Amino acid sequence: MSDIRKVVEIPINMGPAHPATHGVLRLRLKLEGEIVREVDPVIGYLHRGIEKLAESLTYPQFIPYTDRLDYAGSMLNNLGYVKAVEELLGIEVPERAEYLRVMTTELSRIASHLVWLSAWGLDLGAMAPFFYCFREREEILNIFEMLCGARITFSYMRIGGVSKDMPEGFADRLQNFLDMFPEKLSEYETILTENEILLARTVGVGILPKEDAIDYGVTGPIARASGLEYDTRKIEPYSIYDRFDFRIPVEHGCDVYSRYLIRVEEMKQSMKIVQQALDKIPEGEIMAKVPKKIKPEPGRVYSRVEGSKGELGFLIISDGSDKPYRLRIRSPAYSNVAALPVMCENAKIADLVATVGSLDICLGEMDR
Amino acid sequence: MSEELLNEFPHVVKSEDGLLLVEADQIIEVCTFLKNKGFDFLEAISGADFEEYLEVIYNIASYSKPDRVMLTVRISKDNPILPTVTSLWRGANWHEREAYDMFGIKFKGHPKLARILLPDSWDGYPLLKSYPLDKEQKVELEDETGVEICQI
Repeated sequence: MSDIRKVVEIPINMGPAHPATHGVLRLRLKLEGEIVREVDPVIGYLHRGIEKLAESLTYPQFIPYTDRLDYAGSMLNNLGYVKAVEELLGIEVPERAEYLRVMTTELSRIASHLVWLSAWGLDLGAMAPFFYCFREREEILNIFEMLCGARITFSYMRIGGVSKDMPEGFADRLQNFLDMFPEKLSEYETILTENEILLARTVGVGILPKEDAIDYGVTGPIARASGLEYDTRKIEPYSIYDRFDFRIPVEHGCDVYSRYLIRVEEMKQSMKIVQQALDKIPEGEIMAKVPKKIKPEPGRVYSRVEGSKGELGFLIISDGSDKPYRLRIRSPAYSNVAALPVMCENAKIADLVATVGSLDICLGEMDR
Repeated sequence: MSEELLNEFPHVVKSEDGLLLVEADQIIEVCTFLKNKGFDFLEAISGADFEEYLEVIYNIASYSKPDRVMLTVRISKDNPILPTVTSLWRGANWHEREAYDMFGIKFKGHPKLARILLPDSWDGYPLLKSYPLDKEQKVELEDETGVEICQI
């Protein structure tokens, strides 16, 4: 008879089709009873070769593809790409377009965080936040629909500006949302922030020390929850972010709970930015004078924006033709998930679910 | 920062179009120097295919200041090998695996140089300009033995 006290490591697969992996992430695990001894993320199940596709598309034709990277916050990807091309071309974007960009990207950030909060709540067994968050997200999507006709894949930004100006009634509707949202946000906080079950499941779980966050190039809410005060909007203000009053929340808990606190605070800060932009938006053009055929001079640019998941970068090499010679996307979730093994060292398998959920991964963006 | 780097390393040169060109065997030294100067954030390592050579582009920034550097290493197409920087940043691991996956660039000393986005059974390196776009691939699920690791 075998000795039942003998420790056996069991290899097990989590994903690629698993409700808690938020898409097609696969984790190759080694378990010792309930303890996770080894985590090996396997990615690439959603790889579509977007970087290769870009080489056969003209610069404007690539904009819709950026929607399909991080589909929870498409506006941010739109901005990241068009900003890179504008830097390559040396185009100044009109004031009004900049304000519209800031408003839509910050709303997109809120929408993305709402999706995260709802899905993560579901991972932990909380059903109510899912319905609450999707109710508010719905209103953001309605606002976007009013603006550009699309709800998820906007393609709203253009090289040199934005595609549409605010329609009639848009400002009122947005103002209504901004008036209503703080109350809703405090509703989520009432059911989550001091919830005993949530605290038990998240405090001290999925620890990512600051040094490891730096080592892995982790950015976004996860880095800020590990005590790194790093946000592209502050450290290298692009667009018109230097004109707004907002702060970057930083937590030092390094755990899943801190990541929750950061994202809730970020939603409040984003709301503040949208409000200021809405109050100050000037009249004027929404598109710069851009040549019909976009042909940047030979050269290269690395441009970054703060996405909802972290630093989103676009490296574009131009050879002087109307198509990018090489386009590389620095996806924030890619670097963040690489640090997952550190967070899950010797964790319980149920904590692994809470930790993976806290990363806010989007496979469309990771696998490209 | 680039001035300081040029003074410190005589082999680092600025090309006509403003790129900081680093020799492959000096990349660890240069990166260590940068890291000690506060450039602690490795944003990305990307490959690129040009007619005469392959390029590996390092985007290095800092978590505490807005400054950033872009380094370029040019390597031959026949023997695309350069040292890994995983000893400086563990985050380099996946970026280097991606460059291997897409361009066949090999990083000497890498802990696990295997394909990352494409299946193991993939033949060829799709981001090379010479890759035939209509090439058919047989995709197989990996077996018990796990991933195929490149040996240099």
